[in-house]
Amino acid sequence: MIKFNNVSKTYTKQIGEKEAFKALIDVSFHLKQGQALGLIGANGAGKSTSIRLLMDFIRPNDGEIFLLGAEPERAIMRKHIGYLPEVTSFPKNLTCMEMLYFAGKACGMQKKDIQVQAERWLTRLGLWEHRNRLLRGYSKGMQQRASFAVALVHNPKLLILDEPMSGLDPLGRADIVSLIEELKKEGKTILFCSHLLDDVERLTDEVLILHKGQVKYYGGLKGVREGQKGWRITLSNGEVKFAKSREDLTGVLSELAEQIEDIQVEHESFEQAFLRIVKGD
Amino acid sequence: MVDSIKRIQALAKIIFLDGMRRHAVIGLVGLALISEMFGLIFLDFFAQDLGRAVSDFLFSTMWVTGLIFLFFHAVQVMAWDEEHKVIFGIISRPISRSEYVIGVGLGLAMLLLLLEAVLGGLAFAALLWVKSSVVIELYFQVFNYTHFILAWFGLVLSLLVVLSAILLFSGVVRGGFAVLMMSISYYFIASGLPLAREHISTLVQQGGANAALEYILQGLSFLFPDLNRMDYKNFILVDVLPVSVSEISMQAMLSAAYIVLALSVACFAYNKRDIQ
Repeated sequence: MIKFNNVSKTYTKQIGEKEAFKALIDVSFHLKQGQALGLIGANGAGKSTSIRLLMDFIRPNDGEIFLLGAEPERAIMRKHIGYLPEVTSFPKNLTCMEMLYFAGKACGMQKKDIQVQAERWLTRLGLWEHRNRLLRGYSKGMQQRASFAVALVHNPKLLILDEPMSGLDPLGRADIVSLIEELKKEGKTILFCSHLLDDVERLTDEVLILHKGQVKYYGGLKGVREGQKGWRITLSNGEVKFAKSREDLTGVLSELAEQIEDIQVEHESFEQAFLRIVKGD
Repeated sequence: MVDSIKRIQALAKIIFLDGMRRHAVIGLVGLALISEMFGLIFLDFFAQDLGRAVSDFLFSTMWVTGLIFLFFHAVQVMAWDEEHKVIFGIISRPISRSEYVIGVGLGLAMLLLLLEAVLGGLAFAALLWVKSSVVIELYFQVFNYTHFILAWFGLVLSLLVVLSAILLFSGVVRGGFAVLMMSISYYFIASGLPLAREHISTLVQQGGANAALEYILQGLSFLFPDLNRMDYKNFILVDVLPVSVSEISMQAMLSAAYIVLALSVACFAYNKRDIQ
């Protein structure tokens, strides 16, 4: 569905900048049908640049990009893509229904089909009662949900979600997470860009970790974490000791055997793994 | 092609609806209508050439309102879309960048047409009312309906030429202020160039200026067309057209060709740009 081969992007030097900014350096990744890939990284890592390249908002300096087998310049391919932008923004004087009609019509849908799909998604996202209100009156969370409806109205095969949880309260976030899970079960291919690592871990099969425009890790979620990190030993006086190796563990066991209250195997969390990969230690 | 037209129509519709609901545009229409009505009060002070005074005033109001609409609304539509990231929600659809530029242009043209149609309708009614209320017929002898429509058409076409230049600047540069500055400069150059050409031409004939300058100004007039060429408001008050129909058709065709060319360059430039 997506092929990103050795892509580099450098933004042209702006007034006051000493040098041009290299946003992506030789980045490659593939996304197959039905897969969910998480694109993660710190601010300025190149996540949004990757997505903008995919959507043909910007063009690469080097490398090739294929989206559903074609170059992103072919606008017609976007008929099969549901894109949720990082910053939700609509023409503020339109109603949600008008925006959905525009989105559907642009994808070649009939008015009747748009109506059916709009009802489905606006009901699912809790916006059906607000469908004829102007979007400028929507709260940030409502706008984000409306943006989701716009991305889904044409039943796309591929979903490109750029920070889908931004602006959502915990309830809204939980709702969107379950929606993305439903979409994943339906067999949609998902490219998910976020800095909320818990969501990425929950929703994706593979991750691409970017740092300063370069790929630091690309592969399955399981491979991100190092295996067992060690053992956590709690003593009866409340003191906690860590054993990183079997030798350390044997030493603690033989020395403090009578005081041991609990032993737990320590695993690296996804966040710890991310920090380790990004920091390079 | 049909799908492309449908996409352009869908985009033009949201540009139109969004513009219709903008308070500034609503205010502008209100102000223009009041201005047209208010102007009629002053017409009581005129006697001779009342028809010319009324039509001049009404058409000037329509022209100025159209320019205000273009310089305060049209210049910032594409820039606003980009600055507020609305553009991402639009071109993430199967809408090509050329379709986006044409769609925005069509939406704005529809708004402009509606605006001028409302003002034109009121102007027509006002002229009829003034003519019928004139006691001494000499003060307002002729009101030619067909010529009124021609004058309205010429005014709208001239405004559409300015709109196409605005779209061209919007396609080339980023930021509403830059587009506004370029558009206003364009308008002033286009308005002043015929006078400059006339002056230089006289000087060249008298041997006071280099003929090359005249050629340069002539060349510039292809980039900055004379917007007064389509000003037919004086024809409203005559029975017979002082210019031939073929000349009017030629002007209309040249204006249309200019609009198409400006839009093509705008599409080309916008296609080459990074949208951030």
